[in-house]
Amino acid sequence: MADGYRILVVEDDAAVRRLVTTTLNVHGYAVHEAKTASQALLELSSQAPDLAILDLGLPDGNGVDVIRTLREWSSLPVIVLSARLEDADKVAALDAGADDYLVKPFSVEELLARVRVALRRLDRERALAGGPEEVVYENGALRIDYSAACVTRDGEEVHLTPSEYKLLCLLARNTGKVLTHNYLLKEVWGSALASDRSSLRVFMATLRKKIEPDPAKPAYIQTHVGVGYRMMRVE
Amino acid sequence: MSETSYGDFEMRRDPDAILKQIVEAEAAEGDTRGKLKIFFGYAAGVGKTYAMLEEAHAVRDKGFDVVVGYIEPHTRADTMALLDGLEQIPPLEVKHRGIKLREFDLDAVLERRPQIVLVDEFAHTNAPGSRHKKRYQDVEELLRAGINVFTTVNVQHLEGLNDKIASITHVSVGERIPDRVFDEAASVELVDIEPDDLIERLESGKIYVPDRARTALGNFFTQKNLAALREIALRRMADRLTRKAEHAEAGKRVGAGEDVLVYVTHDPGIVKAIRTAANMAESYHGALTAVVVDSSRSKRLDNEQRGRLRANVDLAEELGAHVVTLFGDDIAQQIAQYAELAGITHIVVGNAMGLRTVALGREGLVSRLMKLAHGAVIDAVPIKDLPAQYGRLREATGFHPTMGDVWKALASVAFSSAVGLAIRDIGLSDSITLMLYLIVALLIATKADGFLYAVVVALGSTLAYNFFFAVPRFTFNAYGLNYPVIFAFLLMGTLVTSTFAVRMKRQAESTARRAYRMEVLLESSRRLQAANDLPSCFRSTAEQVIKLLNRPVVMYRLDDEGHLLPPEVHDAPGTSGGDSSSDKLTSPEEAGVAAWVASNSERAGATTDTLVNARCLYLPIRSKDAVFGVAGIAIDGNDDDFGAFEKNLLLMILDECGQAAEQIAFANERRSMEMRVEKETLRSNLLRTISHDLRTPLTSISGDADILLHDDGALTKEQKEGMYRDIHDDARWLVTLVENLLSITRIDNGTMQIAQQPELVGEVVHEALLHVDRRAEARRIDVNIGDDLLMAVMDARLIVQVIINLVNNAVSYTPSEGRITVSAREERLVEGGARVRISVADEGPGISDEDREHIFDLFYNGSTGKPSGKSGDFKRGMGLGLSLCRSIVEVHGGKLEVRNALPHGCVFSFTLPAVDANALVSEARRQDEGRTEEARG
Repeated sequence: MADGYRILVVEDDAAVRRLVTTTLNVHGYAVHEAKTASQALLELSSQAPDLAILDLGLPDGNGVDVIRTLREWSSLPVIVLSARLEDADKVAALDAGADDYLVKPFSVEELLARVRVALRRLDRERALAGGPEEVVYENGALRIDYSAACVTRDGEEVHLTPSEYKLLCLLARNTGKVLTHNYLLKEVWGSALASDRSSLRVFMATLRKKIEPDPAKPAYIQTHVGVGYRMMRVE
Repeated sequence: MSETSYGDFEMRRDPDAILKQIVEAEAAEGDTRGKLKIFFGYAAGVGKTYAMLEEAHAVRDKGFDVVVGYIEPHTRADTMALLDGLEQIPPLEVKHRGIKLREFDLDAVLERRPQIVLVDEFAHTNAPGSRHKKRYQDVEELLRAGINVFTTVNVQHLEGLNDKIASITHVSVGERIPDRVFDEAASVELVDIEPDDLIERLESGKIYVPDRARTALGNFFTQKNLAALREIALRRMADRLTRKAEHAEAGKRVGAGEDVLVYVTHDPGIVKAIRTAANMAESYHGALTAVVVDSSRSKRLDNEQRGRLRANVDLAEELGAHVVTLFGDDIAQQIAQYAELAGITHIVVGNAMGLRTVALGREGLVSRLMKLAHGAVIDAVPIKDLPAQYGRLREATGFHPTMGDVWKALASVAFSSAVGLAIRDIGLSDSITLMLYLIVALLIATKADGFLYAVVVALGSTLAYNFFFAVPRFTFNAYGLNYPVIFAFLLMGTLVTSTFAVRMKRQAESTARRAYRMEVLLESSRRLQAANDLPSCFRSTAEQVIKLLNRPVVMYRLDDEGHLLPPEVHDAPGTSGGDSSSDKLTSPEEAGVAAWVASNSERAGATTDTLVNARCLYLPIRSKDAVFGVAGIAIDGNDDDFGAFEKNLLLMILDECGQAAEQIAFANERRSMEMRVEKETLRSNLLRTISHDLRTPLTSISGDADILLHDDGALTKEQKEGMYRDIHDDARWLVTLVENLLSITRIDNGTMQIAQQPELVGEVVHEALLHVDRRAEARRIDVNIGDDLLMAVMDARLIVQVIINLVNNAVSYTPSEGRITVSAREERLVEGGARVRISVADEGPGISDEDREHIFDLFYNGSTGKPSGKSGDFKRGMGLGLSLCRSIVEVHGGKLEVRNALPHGCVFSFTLPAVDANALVSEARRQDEGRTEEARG
């Protein structure tokens, strides 16, 4: 199932590194290892892996800086591992360009699920690369026709306000990636005032009401409390 | 966790000891005041400025940062040549009545912040509109800002020597500095030159003198004068050294010596008495007390007299006096009593040369004092100011003619005469008429204000009696030997009775006034003691000040960094207190004055010497070491001032406020210290309990892992699986514990600094349910949130933790077939607003009353130590979890409650402040539609 994806694991703690590499090996991924930030950058540029799993607290630097440097030349998916509970660190990493985050301790299933989501995004991006810009987005029962600015669920048109539509498109184009509150606010409303966050939540609630089969248990838009939202791929 | 607790062990000491240490450390740091060096001369031209500039060059060569703040421009050429190579701050050009004045630029120097600044002419009086009236005040501000100052001054500018020198030279100097400033200077260098050389210099034109003053100065620069001045200057230098030594010894010059009291009036001549008294106090090594007696006559002082009184009191304060206001009409008695009580042995009064004694045949103040003040030495300083003396005479006798008194007197006479005539008609004796005159005069006297009434009524009664009743009637003639005697008695009788009546009335007034003020003061005290935070302390003070002065008060409080908080204007009741007037009182200029007062801890504004153009008088509210705020009292125009007594009382109230504020600050500091200690204790208890609780799962994990590692194939598959599951479950339990501990540190790191934001309750509950115990999977968890848009203000992470803990707790106590319901709904509050109640209900056995009391205690696992009933498959309770939940909810301003549900089970619930999401939605819709319109247009 892993189709020979190559994953770079950057983690200074030997036990956690072993846990992650063993898990990934068992599931058929090819794994490279790095212990420091500089080693990570070297591996990233020389090996060109398909995905990086990156610990934020590295002995010779901050993982956030690694992401920033990486993003200068590559858009490969990055999943951040963090022992810190603080939302601010996660948000900083996501804003720097990380796709997803995992807080230690995490379960093995959780890790594998996140890896799958990230790789699926990669696949999709590769499939679209070079081709014409995506005009129709399909995800489960949800369908967005970008050219007609029309959203349907199970073939039925969903009426969205302009802000809801913008929000949905933004999430859809980044399916699988966690988008922070700040990012969403900036992209949709052009502002990042903390006071606007409550309106963002309100729009998210109304949007969910329109597209989710059960808004109490959202299938499409996942909430990351204190961090942001993510569009999930629904089969 | 362990690191912090060991690292913070030091914190677990007595908070008082820590506090004391901090205060001491601050005090040690606090000596940042600049040092003052004075170049001191006995006359103009001795070369003070030259010496100062030379010294400036010397210190500059040593590497100090020296700038020239101000040098008199007309000094001689070789002095000016010394300016080369020194950085100069350009003087400020001030226009006053069309004349350009060059002034020292205080703000430029404060901005420049050199190590040393040179400021010539210490005693200079600044141009009107400057911040301070006097240059020495500028210098004091520089010193407070930590800048060292070099300055120059001549001996005749010293306040305390003013009279002495004036009597020698016959030149009175208007520009004076308080002796205190001179004595407190870090060093004084005497610039000395032989008088002969000085005269020679003057004659050879080396001393700059304006032409018109040349002759006058010629008379001044005589060998005799200069020698005398030189002697005074040298002696003053010597004095300064002894005074300085005493200061250093005693810290303050109070105690051992003999104390001196001076009676201060508005008389301009009294300054002489004040200076004499100050010099006496200095030489006796005693404290100086200036006494102002506030009598019923004081309120009749006109503005000019009030101004003079204030100036005299200020002078006394400048000279180091402690000002006391006494109340009563008998000045001598008041002074004598105070002196006796305070143990003051020297009383200095200005003596009016007995004029009053001559004019009225009454005892003078001095002789009254002689009689009343036993054991004190009375020093009478002659006062020469004659015009003022007549004023004093008039004032002292209360001889203020008012038309009202005349009319009252005439009415009294007319009434007595009319009744007398009626009595006479019914044939009663004339002696009754005489009594009548006396009684009516006495009765109406209680309504009169002054002694004019007494005089008019006495004369009028006598004349009227003569006219109407004395034979021959209806003439001013009288026959018979009796009449002159009767007239004399009537005159004296009415005069004496009415005088006494008037005086009694005044005394009653004065007593009432005093009582009222005492009441104000007592009330202030009481209210300030009751105030338990700074805002209420300031509010009470403002109210009391308004009660006392009946004028608007502006209160500024200082924040922790010493910046002014926005002012609060308190208007006097009855005044409209329109916005425009309070705007004027809080304009940026006014706030600037207040800020100056706060940072310098000195009064400023209207009626003071500093920043006099302000609309308010600003006084610092301070304790010994700290300024807590500034009170501004609105003053209308420069003539408007309140009495010395009110001022005294005002200062007392503000002082009291400062002390109360200090108490509050101390209490706060103490409380936070205690809280820290308490928290520390809590933390170490927590740590102990946790490490104990950690052992159990760790034993199981490491034991199981050990067995599995050394397994030689003896274990069955089921056994192995059981061990794997135990390891996994125990690890999960540890994870929950760690999450909870992290949450605790989140709250502890700053109890109130949690990041609260409006969040959708649905999202939060959903997120929480993703993380609940895996064992919950077996139970049914219902979510019941009526409104998708239900929003509440919270720190989402922490509330997620609360819900996780509550649900986990419910899971532990619910049999596997039981149901758990998480619900949220909005509650409207009676007092307006709304809150969201989130509750978690289970169908477990419920909680006994005994357990309910302790359920939120740390690590409480139920009364039996183990969960009861069917849920016994869980070995550990959620003690930490519930205690944490309660803390988190409390930090959010809510309360975590638990009650039993029917038929069984229990419900945990808590509330959070609600956000009106519907309003947000409609607002968002409106914005959205606006955008749509835009897009279409």
